[in-house]
Amino acid sequence: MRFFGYLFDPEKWGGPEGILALCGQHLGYTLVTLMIAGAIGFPFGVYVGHTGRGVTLVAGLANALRALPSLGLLVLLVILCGPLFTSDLAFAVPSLIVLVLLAVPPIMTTTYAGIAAVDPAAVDAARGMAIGRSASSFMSKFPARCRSSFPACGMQRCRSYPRRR
Amino acid sequence: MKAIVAKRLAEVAAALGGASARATSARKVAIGSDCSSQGIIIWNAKTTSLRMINRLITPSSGSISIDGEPTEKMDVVKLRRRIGYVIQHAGLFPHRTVVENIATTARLSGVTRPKALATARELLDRVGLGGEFANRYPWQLSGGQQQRVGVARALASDPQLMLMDEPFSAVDPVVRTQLQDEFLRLQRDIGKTIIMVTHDIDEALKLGNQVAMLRTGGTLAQVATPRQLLAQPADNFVADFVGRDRGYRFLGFAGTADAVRLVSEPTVRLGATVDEAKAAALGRWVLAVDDHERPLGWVDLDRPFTHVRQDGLNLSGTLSAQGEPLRALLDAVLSAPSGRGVVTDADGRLLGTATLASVSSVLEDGRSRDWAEAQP
Amino acid sequence: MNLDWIIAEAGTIGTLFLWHFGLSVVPVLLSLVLAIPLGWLAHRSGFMRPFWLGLAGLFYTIPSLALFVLLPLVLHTRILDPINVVVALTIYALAMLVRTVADGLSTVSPETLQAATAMGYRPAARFLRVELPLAVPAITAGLRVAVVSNVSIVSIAALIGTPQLGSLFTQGLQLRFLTPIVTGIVLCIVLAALLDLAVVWAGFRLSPWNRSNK
Repeated sequence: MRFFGYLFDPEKWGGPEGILALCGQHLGYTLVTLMIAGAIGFPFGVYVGHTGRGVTLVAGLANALRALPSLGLLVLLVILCGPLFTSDLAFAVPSLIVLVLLAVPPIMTTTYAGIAAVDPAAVDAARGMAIGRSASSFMSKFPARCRSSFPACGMQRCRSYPRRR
Repeated sequence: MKAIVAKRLAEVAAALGGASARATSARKVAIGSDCSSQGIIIWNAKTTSLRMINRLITPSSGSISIDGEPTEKMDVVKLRRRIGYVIQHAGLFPHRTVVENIATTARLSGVTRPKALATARELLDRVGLGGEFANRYPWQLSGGQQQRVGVARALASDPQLMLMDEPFSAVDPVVRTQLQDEFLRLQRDIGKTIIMVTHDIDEALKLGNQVAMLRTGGTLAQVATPRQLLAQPADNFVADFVGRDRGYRFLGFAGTADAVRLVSEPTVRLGATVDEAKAAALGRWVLAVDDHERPLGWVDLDRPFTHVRQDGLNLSGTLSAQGEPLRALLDAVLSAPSGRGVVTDADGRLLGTATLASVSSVLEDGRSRDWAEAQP
Repeated sequence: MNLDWIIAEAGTIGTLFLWHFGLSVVPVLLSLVLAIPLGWLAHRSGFMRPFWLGLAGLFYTIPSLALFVLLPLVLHTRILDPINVVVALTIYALAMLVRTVADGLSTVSPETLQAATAMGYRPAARFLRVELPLAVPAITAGLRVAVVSNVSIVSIAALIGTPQLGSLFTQGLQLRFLTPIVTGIVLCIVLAALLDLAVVWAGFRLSPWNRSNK
């Protein structure tokens, strides 16, 4: 019953520490993380998928990043960044760095896998129609694979850590 | 639905024809596995018909019985273990070696592992693959080799009845011909009741002793021996399907080259001088043979040369072996640049040559008799 | 970095490493055992397949810390009981592996399955002797991701006081001392690499037929 009491207490929803504010904050972290991680992981994935160069590097890197203990990294960054900021940013920046590091590998690998899995015949056809190399990537490969890249973004789990003040 | 099922059951029966299967009514089919027979179904709804026999598809009505036993009353797994099944791309198990693949069916019918593996090795040899293939995995084999393994696997449990669903259609024409020839040889050795589905009319005519032709929609157009199908197509559908070349195809059934009078052919060996070749020749062309009297190709005396060499030979002529149908001999005659078709014995050694005139006289003699025989 | 500290604490670090190892491996093995039947069900569920797989994936979005704290209430265990961590990590690994198993099963070609049925395999035997062995390479790939991610997630359990390498992080934060943190990170990566190798090796041994092994 305490659970519902908590849930229906208007006090708990509003205000700078309320559920709504926390939701917004959570969503904000998620979106910023996704944008940064997408900006890093997506071009890498496209490049590797398109040229076939550095496949082992990407796969190895992705797995190594997955193994990075997020908590350890967060603590490390908080201690290292602490002296650099006086505001809340002392916690926000390390969190974002960790979240981006966690989000990059899946975006990179699924983009790579998606681009590499495009039917080579469709790519040949695009080349045959005299669409340039980079144009062919965006006109034939990109639309064909959008769908496989985005679930990976969706899979991203933004873990919530206790905010330390 | 009932009508369709009944029709399909009739197809199954029709495919086996008289001796081994009969439709006791439009809704009951009996398959006997006691006598060896190859039935071939071609054209529509064929795969469905085949799968009804081992109940991969269940007929919603009607009945199929094997050796008097209705299949719908049997345990479906036991039924399938009694029936060999070969499909288009072989469907081998990628995670098992070739011998393990072959041994699978024997293992399923309760044979011990060492015994099953021994059988598998024997069968591997039988389908024309050497022991070096035994421990390879399917991906290390060509399409034709996989198909041979697929046939061996179906045979390993010594089934009474074999179903083959377009077994040779996924391989290239050269391999397909090899597989078909081996199929005929194998069938002479083992004598199983086989029902095969194909969309290739030549394959049906070559392999089947009863061929059922089905129309679009699955109704039976005609069931007959290959010879009858060519000589007496039941209607325009069958006539169109057996094709424009049916006169030529019929030569495949119009007796063998043995009846044709052969003329001995002068030959030269590789390395012979131009004068030796000219002395031996009957005209512009002279046949070159190797040390075992096996024909190599024709030497053109109108072209300048000093010695007969392998790379100077004209290779356009095909060879016809003794015992092959007239179709092969006629082809040899038509393709030889000298106009003389080369006939060899079973070991490939030269027996002599035949001219178009000699072939056509045999055809003329035989024609009236053969075409008359094909009449019902 | 302070090497003296590492040498002095070597015994404790070793214990933490072993705990971390156990907490990483046991949940993955448990979830694999559970994922095989569940993945099979999802694989066989036809048009409901995306729904079941989506539902399984949803478990992955539960914040790990929240799960660590909630589980004692659900399971009636003590808050420091490692069982909580094992159950939570099993749920995460399961969320990933159900999809892996279902995808692995769907890599088996229909022709192979049809041949197996036609030659008289019973359904259970067909699954165990044909489908599952053929799904091994795909399952291995998924298992690598699960096991490596798990090593990372285990460390979060330090926040609720379960001993493992993550304890070095909380300790380092309290003391504002970098050595234990760096040691913890390095050992986590080493452990992840070792487990990854072990999975690759097991997958290799279980699928000698796989052409990418050559």
